[in-house]
Amino acid sequence: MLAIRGIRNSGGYLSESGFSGLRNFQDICHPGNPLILKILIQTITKNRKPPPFPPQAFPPQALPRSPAFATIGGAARWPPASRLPGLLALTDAATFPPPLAHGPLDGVKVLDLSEDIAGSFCARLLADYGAEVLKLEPPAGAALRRMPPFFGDDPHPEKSLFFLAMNLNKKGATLNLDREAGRALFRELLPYVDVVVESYRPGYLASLGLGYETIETINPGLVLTSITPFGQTGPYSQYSGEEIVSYAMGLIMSISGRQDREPLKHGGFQAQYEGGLNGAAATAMALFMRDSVGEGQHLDVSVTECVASTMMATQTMYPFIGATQPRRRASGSNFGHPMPCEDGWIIVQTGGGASWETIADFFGAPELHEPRFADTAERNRNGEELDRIVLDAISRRGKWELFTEAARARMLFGLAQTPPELAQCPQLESRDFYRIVEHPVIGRIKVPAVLFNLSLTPYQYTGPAPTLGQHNREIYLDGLGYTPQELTVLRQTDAI
Amino acid sequence: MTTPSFSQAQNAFSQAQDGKLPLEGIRVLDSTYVFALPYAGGLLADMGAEVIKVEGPGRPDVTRTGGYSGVFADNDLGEDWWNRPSTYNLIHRGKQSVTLDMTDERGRGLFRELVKISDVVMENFTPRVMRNWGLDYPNLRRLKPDVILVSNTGYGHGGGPYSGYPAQATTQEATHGHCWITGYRPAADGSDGGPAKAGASFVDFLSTWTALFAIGAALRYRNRTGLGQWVDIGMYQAGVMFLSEYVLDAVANGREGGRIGNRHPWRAPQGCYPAAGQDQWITLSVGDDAQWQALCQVMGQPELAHDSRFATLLSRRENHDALDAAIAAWTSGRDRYAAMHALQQAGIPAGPVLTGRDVHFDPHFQSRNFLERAQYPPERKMGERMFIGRPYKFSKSPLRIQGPSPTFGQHNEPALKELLGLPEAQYRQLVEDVVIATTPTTGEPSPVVPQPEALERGIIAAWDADYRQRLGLE
Repeated sequence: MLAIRGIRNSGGYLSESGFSGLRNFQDICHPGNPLILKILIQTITKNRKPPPFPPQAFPPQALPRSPAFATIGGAARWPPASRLPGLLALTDAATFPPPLAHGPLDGVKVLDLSEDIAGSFCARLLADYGAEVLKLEPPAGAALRRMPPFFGDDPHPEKSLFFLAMNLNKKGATLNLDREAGRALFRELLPYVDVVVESYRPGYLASLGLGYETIETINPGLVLTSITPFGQTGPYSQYSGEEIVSYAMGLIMSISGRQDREPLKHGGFQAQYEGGLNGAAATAMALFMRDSVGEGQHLDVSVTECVASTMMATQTMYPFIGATQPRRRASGSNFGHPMPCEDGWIIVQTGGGASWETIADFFGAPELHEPRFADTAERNRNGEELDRIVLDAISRRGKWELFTEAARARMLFGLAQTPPELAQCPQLESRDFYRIVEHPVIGRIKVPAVLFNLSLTPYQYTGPAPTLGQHNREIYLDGLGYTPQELTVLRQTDAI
Repeated sequence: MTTPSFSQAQNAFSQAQDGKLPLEGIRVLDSTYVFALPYAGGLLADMGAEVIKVEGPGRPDVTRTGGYSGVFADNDLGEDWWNRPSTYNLIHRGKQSVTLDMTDERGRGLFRELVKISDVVMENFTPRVMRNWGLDYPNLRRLKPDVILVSNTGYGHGGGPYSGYPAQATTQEATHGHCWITGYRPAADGSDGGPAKAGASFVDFLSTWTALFAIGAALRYRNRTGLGQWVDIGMYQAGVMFLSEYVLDAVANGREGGRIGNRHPWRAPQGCYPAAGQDQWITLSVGDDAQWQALCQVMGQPELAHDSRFATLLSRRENHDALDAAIAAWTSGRDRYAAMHALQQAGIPAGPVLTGRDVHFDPHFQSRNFLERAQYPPERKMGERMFIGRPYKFSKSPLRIQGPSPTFGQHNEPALKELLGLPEAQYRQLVEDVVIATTPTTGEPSPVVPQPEALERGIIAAWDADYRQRLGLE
């Protein structure tokens, strides 16, 4: 009877949902009893390997290597009959299996301690692709609950649209790491999970006795993903981050904006999202490796380094020719930059499948066929004249008409869409990008949902962002086996 | 504020030297061009994967030729200019290079053979190309049932209205909404510079990292179930995801969003201010009254803390122009690093605008070994170069750049003859028919502009003639 559901849920890819797997432990477990806890850890560890495909020896799915493969596929077999051209002709009937109702990270359990955008986005991506994520918030709620925009501009803790977007598909409980009872609860949860995501100042968890060294002792297979402005190490690791600071120190502001003005920041919170996405990528890789070697590790993601990682041309210019890349000149060709048309802004780039002749025809200005615009160097030299002609040509044309016609001419072309336009975009609808969410306080709302498509184990929508402490009873009563009286005491003492 | 104590963590992350890499034993067939997935291939190689980059003899990667290639090592075309561009060398570090003419059935046949012994295949052709070649997912699956295929396109596969549209990061930044919210704040007189592009090829990198996440998750699933699948990434979609809060504000509150320059939607003051020196800048951001009081102290203007115009967050937002002037007066003439340290010691988020040069000398980036050195064999005449590593460290896996980029077709022989067992006579025939090659048959180098001329023309902002000595490059 011991942990039958636990077995199924501790990594089995057929399980439907996970923290309920803790339920059966309450009969046999008195929380805090170290002996029982040890048995449970052993049970969980023993059953971590999922049926029916146990992890393989490392390296995973090792392929035949040369020269071994050369021996198998020797000269005599080349080209083998089955590989002859023609035998693999296209068949329109070629199909692939229908999608399953779970994600590729099915069976993975995650504790999300993050209060910010980056960590929350990381854990959300894990949840979107099948992991079961429990967000653990301080009793006052994660800081993100206080961030605009708010639904109906009402600054209610359940109405932050930013919190909603970053915490879809998660369960939520409260837990106060500043109380010993809260830390004890956290330690109790650790044996059952595969990943902890956190974004506290480096050293904070360690100062509570919950650093990776401790976590590793309790659960050697656990992956701890830390996402911080400057990373866990280095002289600025204790410094405070902000979006603009990550952009400044991540090099990107040095080339953004114009030379006659101050460097310019990207709009929105791109650096935070980048940190979250890299955190999810690193976590997925570490989980893949963990399944083979049995050991987790501590991942250190730096938001500033995420931004800097996009600066390929900018960084390499120095060790290659000793030079620094500038911002854009105040004047010069607008190609590759937004240009105003009748009802908005468009952007054109040369190259791709369209010749200059095609582009000149598209704008319908005969002067563009003149030799002074014939190649990139000439166009740069005569950039202001080029701009004048092009701006005049598009001043009486609409952005959508231009967008469609440019695609027909195989041109690289874009238009500056506004958020309301994005919310109605037929291309995004065709990709099922949005999901309609039923939120208990906000109501029905359309949210950006699907980062990418997967043919077999696609994105799954399982629920809106949790309300504060929504799953406390499920986690602490049903999961860890506390009594309602004990739960009351935990609340009274501000532990949850 | 507590004294920085990072030595313990530093030790933990430097102990990874002899650990295993996450992707040991994984082979990736990388048939991708430009930035997004090729860069993912380089990062997979850092994680221990064997990455085979496939190019056509007449279709060299555009990071070798033309405007995407950056600059050539030491501004010298050398004898093999196509192996010397900066962006090519950053992106393709640690890979193997095989050339195959995919328009020739023999080239496609060899590609199929490589698919059969690969774990992951990556491609970024427009949807119809792989299909016409019989290399779309249904067909690849017949060759290798558990293959993980990663496709990256501008708008994603499927029947959507834009799925067949040509796309590339520069134009997509506008279309996915990014330009609309990026740009200098409209001036008080109403003049508006309009939407702007920021950075370089921004949305490409969203696909890069999305691919890494998808590959990690799909490999884990395959390891457990034996099942592969098709990863279909649309850059446009990834770009819109990164604007989620703007889209929700539009859906819920009818807002259109817009440009606020370097200001913050709710913190104040925030901005980018001039520091001592030519084109030197410091950014800072104040979020609450305590940080505001601290800023007044750091600036040596305690009287500002009692100025009613700046007493609350709301009033600071209303009087942001006046605040900017006061802050700029303090930062002007101050060393940007000294300003950062003073502000950070007072608990205020702040940092200098670092350039592509600065990152090589900043103590924090140096301490974290963010830039890594790749040593080239003598015949490459490239010596040693430094490249961006990656934005994450694993405590037990020594992720690192595994080696320099390969030359064009460098691994044709080992991959085709040793790995696939192609007989010598057939190999020689393929060379003769230019189905494989070690020199591209098309493409021109981007123009080489001597640094002094580039400086004069504003193509570069500054240059150090002794950069190799300064970096200690061999």
